[in-house]
Amino acid sequence: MGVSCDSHNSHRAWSNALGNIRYPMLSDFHPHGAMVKAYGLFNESNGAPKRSVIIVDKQGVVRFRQEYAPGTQPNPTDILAELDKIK
Amino acid sequence: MPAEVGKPAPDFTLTNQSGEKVSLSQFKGQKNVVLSFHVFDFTGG
Repeated sequence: MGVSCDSHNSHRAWSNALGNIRYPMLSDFHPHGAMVKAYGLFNESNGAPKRSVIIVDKQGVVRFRQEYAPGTQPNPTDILAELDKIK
Repeated sequence: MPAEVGKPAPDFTLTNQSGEKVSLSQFKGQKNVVLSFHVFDFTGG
């Protein structure tokens, strides 16, 4: 699932622009960034999440946590490999 | 550090792009969940 602090209306427009994203794009808009802060991933300097990925297993336990430098992206192959570890 | 590896993930309920509520807890016992945090919509981040 995607997460940002944009409104769900913004997410809908962005989803439409990308060709109708089928996975949930979650809005942590109000109270602003509350969920992102709970995960320790809020960037106070721009009021937005840090680019990052967290994997939660079926038991609700965090199994992977990685932040990415601005301008860099997670490698999907790496994320799938992490998921394979916790099947 | 919150939400570190090996610790319980904080539950949340947020609104998706269709205006529906989604909670982390609804996937418990059902699915692993990937949370991909993005800086802003309509950007490369």
